[in-house]
Amino acid sequence: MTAIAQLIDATKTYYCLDCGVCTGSCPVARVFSDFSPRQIIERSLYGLEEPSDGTIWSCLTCAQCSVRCPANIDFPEFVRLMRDEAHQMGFEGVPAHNGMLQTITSIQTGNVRQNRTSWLEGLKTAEKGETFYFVGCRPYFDVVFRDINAGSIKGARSVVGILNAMGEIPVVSNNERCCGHDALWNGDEEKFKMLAGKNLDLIRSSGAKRVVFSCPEGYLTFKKYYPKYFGDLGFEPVHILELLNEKIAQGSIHLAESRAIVTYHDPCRLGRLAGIYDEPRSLIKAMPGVELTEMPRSRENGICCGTTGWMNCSSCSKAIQLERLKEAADTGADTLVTACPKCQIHFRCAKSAFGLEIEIVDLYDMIADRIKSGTGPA
Amino acid sequence: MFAMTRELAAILGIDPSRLRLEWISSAEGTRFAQVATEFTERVKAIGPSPIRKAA
Ligand code: SF4
Ligand code: SF4
Repeated sequence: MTAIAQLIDATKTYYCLDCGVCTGSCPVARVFSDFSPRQIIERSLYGLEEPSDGTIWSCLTCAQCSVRCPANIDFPEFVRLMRDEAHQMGFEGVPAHNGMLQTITSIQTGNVRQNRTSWLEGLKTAEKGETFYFVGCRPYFDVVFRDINAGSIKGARSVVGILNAMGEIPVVSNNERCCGHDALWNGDEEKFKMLAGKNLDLIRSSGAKRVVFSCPEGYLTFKKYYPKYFGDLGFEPVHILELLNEKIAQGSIHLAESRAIVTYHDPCRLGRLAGIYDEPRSLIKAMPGVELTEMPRSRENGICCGTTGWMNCSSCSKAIQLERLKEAADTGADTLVTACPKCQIHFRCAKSAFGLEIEIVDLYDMIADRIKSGTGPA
Repeated sequence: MFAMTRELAAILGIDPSRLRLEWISSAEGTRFAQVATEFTERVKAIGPSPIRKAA
């Protein structure tokens, strides 16, 4: 049995009806006509597909196709397995930014002693404790994307500030590694496992019972893929949205009034892949003076931000981003709220490239800016 | 780009002085030799790189 035949079996792709709903739904296929998920599947079924097919790297793994597929085919998973195969044969996609981000994560598979927490000044954190805040790659993004005002560290400070206001003093560690999300989706399972193993050792030795995430990719990777590869984690991955909504409902966090009309962009890892649609919206609605207007394509139909895993960023990505930002502006909103550090970077990049007016703001920055002093335990 | 790389190296726990940028014209052979020697000595003095794969 060929490798492709095996992955057809694993993902039950033979149920494909050849209906084309996937290609019709796909944001990439709309711009880049050489790319068609339906054709990749059909070619695979007829034994005509090869892992060397360069178009497999154009998929954003955004799951827009799979939520609509009448045969329940998980195309992003199919592509991920295909990339595993391709990677082993020496084929890769085109890394964006000359592979800088891939190199940064590769270095973290070794025994480096990072200095990634210098931004914590003035915030309360601990060496050991029940709650661990998994920051993710923000310290690196902040430097790499400074020219487009990534604001990645501001976002991390906002999250720790929110946790402090909730009475939590989280563990934040210099030894955290990239969660391995990008390696996993780009076919480098070995790198993923090395990074994940290091994170698991670190968190287990910190004594944490739960790990809080603000990054959708980190959350999804810990929640779904770490148990898949490593079994029981010994701690619980939780999204900060859950904790925050609880505190606001209890009335222990108060938000100041500030007028704004915003629209919300569902990150695909948080929405379609983790099923979290309502929590960010109820948080936005809990901010006094803030009005939420929805874009036509939202929730299950929310379009991807145009690039995944720092791969294959192209004119196609830019076309998707431009269309999305226009869609956001057309709602009458002056601000597009994101809940993912990468979506924020991609949209801020497009904003500066096209000279657009709309503001792109991180959900946690919005909250942190509105938390009234005196909120939370003394 | 160079300043950014140094900054990233520091976060990664790699001594930023392992990176050096010097513009030397093809007419400055002596200067090239001097910089290369100096830098080699500097890196030797820092010791093995933390990202070298453990044997
Ligand atoms: S939507 Fe599903 S059934 Fe239809 S062509 Fe695509 S993979 Fe096949
Ligand atoms: S996962 Fe997204 S980008 Fe990939 S084929 Fe499906 S809709 Fe297109």
